Amino acid sequence: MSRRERRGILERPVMRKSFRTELRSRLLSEAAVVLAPRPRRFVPSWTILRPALAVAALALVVAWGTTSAAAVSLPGEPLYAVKRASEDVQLTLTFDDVARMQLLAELADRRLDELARTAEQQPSNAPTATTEYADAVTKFTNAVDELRDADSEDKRNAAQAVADAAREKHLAVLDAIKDRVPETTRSEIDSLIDDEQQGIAPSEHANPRGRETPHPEASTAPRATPRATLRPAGTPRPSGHD
Amino acid sequence: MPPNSQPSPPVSPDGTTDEDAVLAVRAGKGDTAAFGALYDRYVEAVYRYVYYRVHSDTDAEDLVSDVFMRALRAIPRYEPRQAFLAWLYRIARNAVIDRARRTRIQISFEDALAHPGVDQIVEPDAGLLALADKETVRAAIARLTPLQQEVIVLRFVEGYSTSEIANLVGKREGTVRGIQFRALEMLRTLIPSREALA
Repeated sequence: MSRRERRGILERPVMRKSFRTELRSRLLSEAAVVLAPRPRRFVPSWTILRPALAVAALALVVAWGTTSAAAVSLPGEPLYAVKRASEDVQLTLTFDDVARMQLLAELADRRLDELARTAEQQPSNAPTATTEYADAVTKFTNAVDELRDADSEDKRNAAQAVADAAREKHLAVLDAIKDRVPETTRSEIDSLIDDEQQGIAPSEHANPRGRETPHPEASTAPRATPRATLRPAGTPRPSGHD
Repeated sequence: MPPNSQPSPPVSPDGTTDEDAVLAVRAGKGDTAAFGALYDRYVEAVYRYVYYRVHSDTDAEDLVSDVFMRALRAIPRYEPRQAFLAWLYRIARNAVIDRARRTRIQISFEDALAHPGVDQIVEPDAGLLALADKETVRAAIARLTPLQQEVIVLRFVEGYSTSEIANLVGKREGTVRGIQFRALEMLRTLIPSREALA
C-alpha cells in the first residue's frame, strides 16, 4: 500500500484558517520575548574558582585536623582550650534542664577519663586534670541539685538516677587512679573520693581552672560551706545549701 | 532493517530533516522568522496528530497552541541530532498526556457498552476506518491507548511507513507493527461494520 493510499484511509482534518493565522501571530509575538538574547549571568571562571576551592579545602582540612586533635587532647596541652571551647558552645546551646544535666554528666565523665589518661601518660599534668575534673563535677552536681528541687517528679527521678550512676562510676575510677598520680595530687584525689562517698561537691577544696594547684596540705583544710550533691538516694539535703 | 540495528534518524515525508534542523537552531538563537517557518511547515501535521486524540475541534486547537508554545520555550535547547519532526511529535505526545491528566477523561464501562456495535466483529482490515463515519472513528480512536492512537494517526492520517513511525516514536519496527495490529483489533470491536449497521 502506497503512502498516498494509506493517507486516504482516515480523514485528514484541516484546521480553521483563522485559528492558524491567529496562533501564528501570537507565537511570533511571544517568540520575540522568549527567544530574545538574555544578558549572560556572571559565572566565575575555573581560574578564579581553583585557588578559592584550594583555600577552602585547606581550611577544611586544618579545621578537621584541629578538631580531631583537640578531641583527644589532655589538660595542659595547647589544643585542650579548643576542646573546652567546643564543649562550652554545646552547653550554651542546650536549653532543656534534664538534657543539660545529662550533658554535664558526660563532661564530668570525660574529665575523669582525661584524669585517668593524664595520670598514666603525663603525671606532671595530673594536678591540672584534677582541677578540671573537680570543676566539672561541681557544675554537674549543681545541675543535679537544681533538678532535685524541680516540680516534676520525672525530673527529680532523672536527676537521682544520673547522680547515682555517676557516683558509682567516679568512685571506681578515682580509686583506681589515685596510686598512679604524683604524691602532691594524691591527697586531692582522696578528698574527691571522700566527697563522692559523702555526696558533697568538690568545689570548696579543688582549685578553679587556671589557678595554681595549692599545696597538698592545703586541701585537707575543713570545708567552709559544703554543698550537698551526688548524695546517695534518700539522703537529706544538707542545710548549708541554701 | 536487521532486528538489532539502530533506527535511522527520522525523516519527514518531504525529506526536509536537515533544513528543519537548521531552522530550529536558528530559531533557538532568536530568529523568530525561522520559528515561523517551522510553524508553517508543521502546524497542520500537529493538528492532525492531536485531532484524533481529543473529543472536539476546540480541544485540538487548544492542544496545537499548547504544543507550539512548549516548542517555542524548548527550542533553545533543541539538539540537531534528533529530527525536528520527531522532537515536535514528542512535545505533542506529552501535551496530550498532560491534558488527559488534567481533564481526567475517564470512559466508563457503561459508556463502552452503550457504544453501538461494541460486540460486533467486523472485517479484519484497515478498510473499516474508511467506511465508518468520521465521528465514530474519532470516538473509537480516542479509546485506544496513547501509543496506539499515535501509531494509527501516523499511519492512516499522515501515511508514514512502519519504519518511519518506528523512528518517530522511538520504537522498533516489530513493536510498531504489534501496536498497530492490536489497535486495529480494538477498533474492529468499537467500529460497527457497514453490514452490521444496515
